[in-house]
Amino acid sequence: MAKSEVAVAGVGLSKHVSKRRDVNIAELVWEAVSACYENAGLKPKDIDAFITGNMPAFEGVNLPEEWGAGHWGAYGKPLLRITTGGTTGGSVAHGGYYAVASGLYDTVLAIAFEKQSDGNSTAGLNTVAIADAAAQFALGVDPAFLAAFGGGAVGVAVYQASSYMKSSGCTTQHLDKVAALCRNNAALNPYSHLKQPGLTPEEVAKTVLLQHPIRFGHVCPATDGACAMLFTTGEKARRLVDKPAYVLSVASCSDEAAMVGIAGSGTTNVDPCTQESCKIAAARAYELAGIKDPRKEIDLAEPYAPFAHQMLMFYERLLLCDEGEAPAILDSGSMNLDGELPVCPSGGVISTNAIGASAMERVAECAQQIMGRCGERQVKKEVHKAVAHGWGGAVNLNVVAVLSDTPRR
Amino acid sequence: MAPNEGQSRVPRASIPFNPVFGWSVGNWMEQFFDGMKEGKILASRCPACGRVYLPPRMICERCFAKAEEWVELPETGTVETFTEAHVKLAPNGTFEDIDGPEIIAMVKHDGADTCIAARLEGGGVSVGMRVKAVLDPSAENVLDLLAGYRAAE
Ligand SMILES: [Zn+2]
Repeated sequence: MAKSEVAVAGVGLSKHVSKRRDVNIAELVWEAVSACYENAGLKPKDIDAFITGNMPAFEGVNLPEEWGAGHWGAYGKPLLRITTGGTTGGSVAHGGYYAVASGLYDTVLAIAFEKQSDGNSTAGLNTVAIADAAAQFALGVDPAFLAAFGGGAVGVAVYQASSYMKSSGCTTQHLDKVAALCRNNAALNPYSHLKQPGLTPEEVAKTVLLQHPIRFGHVCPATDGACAMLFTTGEKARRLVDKPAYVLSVASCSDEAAMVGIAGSGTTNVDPCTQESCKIAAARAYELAGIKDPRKEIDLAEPYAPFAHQMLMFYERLLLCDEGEAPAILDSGSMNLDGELPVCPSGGVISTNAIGASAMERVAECAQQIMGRCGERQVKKEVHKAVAHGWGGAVNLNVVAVLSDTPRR
Repeated sequence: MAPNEGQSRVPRASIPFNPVFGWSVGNWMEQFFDGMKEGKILASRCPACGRVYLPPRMICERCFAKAEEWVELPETGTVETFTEAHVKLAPNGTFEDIDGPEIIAMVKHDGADTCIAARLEGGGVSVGMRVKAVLDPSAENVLDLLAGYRAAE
């Protein structure tokens, strides 16, 4: 276990909208990066190393970091790209943590992004699914059928939603409620994509049913956007900002792989809503952070939830309550901005999904809530400890980070 | 089963896969194309070090400064390096002869610090050769606005 203190001393975000046709990839990401430099009061000369990532194949640009690095201040500096699917941004943040915690670098800029409007995200997802799909073809499954009905982002969520709802008692009304909660939070976030102030669960319930049980209103948009975070030593962070956000721990866990296996949205042989690897990663992260009872000690959660049921499912898998309790906790109002344990105060992935950046934006929101920089969406309670999560890989990887307003003792 | 025998028994399937990409050229290149439509060659200059970028780019990577000073460059420049293509790739993956050698030259415009790659019309290319841009402001496709280069008088 690393002994050194690691802290976030700056966060920068670009505008997040569906189509940024006015800028190219390098220029879009520059917006987040330059905001982060400004935010931390640093210049590229102060950065020791750069870590970046986005989804492979989505924009059809391989090695986008080699194109953009100079636009982000990395000229003449060490550069590393990390790409792990939906978890990419979380993994990039973990990379920033590792680089500082290891003592190899003092100050690291972590950058994650996606410019979905340049490419074809469904094609990109299909390239992720190939390994598992190949086995299905050998059994005589028609590839065209899989591509049209089994694949795509909704395809990996619907089976999971059905099994989660069965096991937890979560109803479609709960899904509507989650969507309304998140989109209302997003309306207070200048960097969110889908802002729907005043949206009600009843309005969500009227949106088109895409694939049972998921309605249009339960699904994330496709977003162009970028996020940058400055990781540095606790000592340096205290010099740079009044209130740094300390990263107490990171943990990840890889489960069995399967895109279109029996379960369709998790692993081949188990129920896709169990997410055992999330529980393992969360338990490990809390242990490393010195947290004994996450239900009492965690003040805020940013689970990765592009689909409504996932906010409740991952709340449970992050060990913040017993399994099956999350729907009732949602009903109690505890997850609201003024609640006991606010969830997705940023508006969540369901409101903004620049895929490669999304899992980092969970960490960034936790950091900014701790730093007290969230403006209108700043949660009412004081945030001492927060948990950020990402879900991705070949839908079998979970990443967790725990942040705090005080360094680890 | 003999080694590799299984290969002949494996059915082959194709996956429908027709992704369409549409990359934004970016704000700086849009301004370059807008200039081209008026017959102007616009480059961006770094306010910190004075480096002049053609094609233009937003950030001077050496200074991390926004290269937002625009300068109009003359149509003339110098060939820094070149190649002559003698064959092209046919759709079936084999080489095919082309009518005459095609010259691709790296041209540094007078006043620029970077090169632009384009076709050189006419023969007799050499490093250090003086060339002039051939503009086609009426071209439908912005990528054809700069048709190429030819020898300057
Ligand atoms: Zn410069």
